Amino acid sequence: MDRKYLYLIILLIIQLNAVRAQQCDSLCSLKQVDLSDVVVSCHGPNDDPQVSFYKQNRLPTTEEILGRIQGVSLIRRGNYGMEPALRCYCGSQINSTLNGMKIFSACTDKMDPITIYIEPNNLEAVDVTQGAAGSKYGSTIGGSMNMDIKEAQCTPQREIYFTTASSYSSVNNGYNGSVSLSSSGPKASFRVGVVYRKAFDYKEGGGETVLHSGYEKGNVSASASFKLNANQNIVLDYIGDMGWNIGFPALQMDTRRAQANIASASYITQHERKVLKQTETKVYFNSIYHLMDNSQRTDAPMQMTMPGISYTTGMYSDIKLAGGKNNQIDLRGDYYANYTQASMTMFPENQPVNYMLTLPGNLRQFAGAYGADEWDITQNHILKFNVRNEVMHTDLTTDAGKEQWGVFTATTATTKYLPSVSVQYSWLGPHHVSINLTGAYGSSAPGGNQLYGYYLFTALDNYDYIGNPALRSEKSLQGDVNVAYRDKIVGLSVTGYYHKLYDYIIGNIINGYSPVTIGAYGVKQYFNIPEAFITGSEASVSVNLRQGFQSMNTFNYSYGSLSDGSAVPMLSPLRGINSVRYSYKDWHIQAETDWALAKDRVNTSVGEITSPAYALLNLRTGYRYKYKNNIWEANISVENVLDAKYREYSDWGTVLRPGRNFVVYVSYSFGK
Amino acid sequence: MKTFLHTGCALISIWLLLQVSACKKENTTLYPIPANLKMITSGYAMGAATKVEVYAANDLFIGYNIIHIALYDSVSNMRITQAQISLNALMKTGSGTSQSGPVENPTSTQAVNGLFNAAVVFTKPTASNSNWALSMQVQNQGNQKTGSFAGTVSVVQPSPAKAYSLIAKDDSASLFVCLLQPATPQLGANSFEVTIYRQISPMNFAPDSSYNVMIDAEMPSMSGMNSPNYVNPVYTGNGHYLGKVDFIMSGEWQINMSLLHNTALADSSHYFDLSL
Repeated sequence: MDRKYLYLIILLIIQLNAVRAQQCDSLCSLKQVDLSDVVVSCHGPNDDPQVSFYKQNRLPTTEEILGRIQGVSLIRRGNYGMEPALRCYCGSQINSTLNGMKIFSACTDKMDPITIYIEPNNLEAVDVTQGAAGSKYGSTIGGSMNMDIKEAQCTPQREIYFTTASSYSSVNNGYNGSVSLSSSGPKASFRVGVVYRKAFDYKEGGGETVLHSGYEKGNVSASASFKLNANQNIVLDYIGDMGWNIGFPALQMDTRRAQANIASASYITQHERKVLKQTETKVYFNSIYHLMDNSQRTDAPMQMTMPGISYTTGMYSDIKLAGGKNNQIDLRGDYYANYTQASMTMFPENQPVNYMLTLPGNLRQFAGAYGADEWDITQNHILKFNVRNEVMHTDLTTDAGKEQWGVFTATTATTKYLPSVSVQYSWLGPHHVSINLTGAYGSSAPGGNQLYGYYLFTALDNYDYIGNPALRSEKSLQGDVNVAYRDKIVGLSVTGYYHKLYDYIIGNIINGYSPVTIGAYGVKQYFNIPEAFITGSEASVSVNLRQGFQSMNTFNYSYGSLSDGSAVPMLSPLRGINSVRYSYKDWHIQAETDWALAKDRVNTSVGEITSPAYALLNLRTGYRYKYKNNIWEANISVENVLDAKYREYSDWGTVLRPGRNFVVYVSYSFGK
Repeated sequence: MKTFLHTGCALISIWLLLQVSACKKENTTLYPIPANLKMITSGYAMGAATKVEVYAANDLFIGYNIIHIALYDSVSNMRITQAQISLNALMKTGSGTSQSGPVENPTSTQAVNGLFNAAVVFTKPTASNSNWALSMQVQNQGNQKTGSFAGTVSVVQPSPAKAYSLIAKDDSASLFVCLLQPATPQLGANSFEVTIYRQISPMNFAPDSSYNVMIDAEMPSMSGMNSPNYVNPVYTGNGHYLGKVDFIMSGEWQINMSLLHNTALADSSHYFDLSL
């Protein structure tokens, strides 16, 4: 039996149990409700009101949740599987981690970002740190985004929680269903969650169907926690994720099948009264398989398949220390090794198949040490600094890969030293005013594709890309300033930043090479350019009136240039989200505008195209009914009410985003 | 004393016999014929007291064939490792006409691993009314005797072709071009080697050093995608031109050949097909 039907059957069985559970009278109140438990924190600016506001919306995918976080954007190649970016940093420039674990794409076209492996029903928190200061999870110039999954947690009393939710989207005839069940006690606790999604091709603004944009996937998560004694816990986590026929209209291929197995074991100790406050040691392993092909593209000049694998094994140890009354020290040591390989098989008519290692088997190993100290000098002055040093060694591991790369170079091994350091000073002034100053230096190692990619086609600029094992790591010197005012009613926050980049990596055309991809313009290779800079600003204004009115407004804009004066890729035009919500008892209604000015300054050499200005209107309403230990919730949203035809600056190609979309969400939760 | 001498002589004789026996055994087992070689023809070089065995990695084909010659003392069957060998390849047709093929005699009188390595170029396949004869003059440097061997060999047309003949556009010369390397193409960098022979007469082919050879490797199934970083072959001697070609993908490749006399184009209509 096909595994996707197995997911469906499991889901249906649990949903039936949910209906039965609705008929039961239970007495305990719920402590855990799906998305409302998602805690999103953004280091640096104090954006908690913004986060609190948006987390009340029932957003069906983790991607949509991330898209609401200021400074986070999504590189869109399809309606699912969007690649997260922080400001204008992406790929190897940022750390994307799941529960602190490193997970790398098996797809050379980045169809499988880490964000697809965690579903809203098992997403506990998102921790975003912009810039080089986010080096806890690895050396970086762009920042870090760590998504914590909901883990089983032991409780003094025996408790059971159950949640099921379903949603339907009209724009793509999409159905999402999820269930999660947890059982906890003093010695052990367990949690399982299942999610199934199925969506067809969506309709863009105006009603045209965007072909190859549907998707189907299932996700299973399981967690077990065992209390060894009052201070020691062992936590086991597993996530299994399957995807089928995930369309990417901006690319030439689609995901035919994707599979991820992510497992970890953690040993945690708590020592409340000692200098050593907490330790966590985790070992983890994940295997990702991804198969893309163009079997559904009738206009393809030749059938082809591109399978890829990614295996990552790693461990880290976190230690939290109390250095006196005013110091909090965070230490971390980590190591991980990632093996990736991808290939392409082409099937010309009446001829033998053509085969190429598009990413020859390569092993990248990282080892790093991190230390941070938050020093409360006085009640009004806080100094926080962190330092990290990391070393990466990488090389091709297969003879076939080395022979293939012998066309360009015999030297494929490289070692990088990646230092990072940041200092943040915070002044908490009178009248609810605060100022944060951050200075940082960071470095990022080149990614696997940038080092060893072999004629990897990039649809954005229609070029085949060749890696460059001689690439230097990217470096950045950064300064951020944040000024904030916050009282019970009004919250204001303005952040300005300026980042100087060194050895920025970008692809340049190399002459004398013909592309492998039929129809590609040519061949590019990755090179370092001496300098670049980005600067920008992010602002938020929140109003919270006692009469039930709330308003949240966010704005961001970025500007930057490469050393030749051209634009840094992925710069955001002035963009904002303005929302107003009225709540009355268990009802709420919300109106929201999502808008951006035109982006005319683009980097055409990497394939960016201008994006026109747009403005969307979204309307949402919801009702929550609570009876004893049961909670029913219903939400209805109309997104893109005006059916606008639009695309965002980070979208690949000219594919438009979804038009008017009616979304219905219902959930039931039970706990005792 | 006499008994002692007799005993000593007997022991020395036994020791010598053992040494000879060991030598013979060593000579025949020291140089085993590699398993990947197959015998093409064998016979005796009359007058040289020498048995001749000719080996090749594959059936002989139209083009440049590397052959390996093993010589044995026809009496002791011991391997002969020092000899002067002079080859000749001759095709005779039913109509009585003859045509020779270019040859490369062993470069040394000393065998390498017991074998004398040489090359023969066949220009046409064996047919019902035509046969190739591979003959050689062998001077056994052990006994200083000279003799001749001749054997009939079968030559096939390989697929894909590994040689072609042409009439040069610029001077109407009759040329025969053979592909030597890559014999077994592999992903990545490969040596690319061809030989060019100019036919002086039906019985005489001469290595030609006068051409500039230009190559272009492409995959026809990939809309003519080219190989990067190739190096055009340059003359290295004895009709050989050596360059480099890179294969970035397995599949069917086509190496387009252009021969120029300085800037005058002699031919650009031929190519070699390679599969990897």
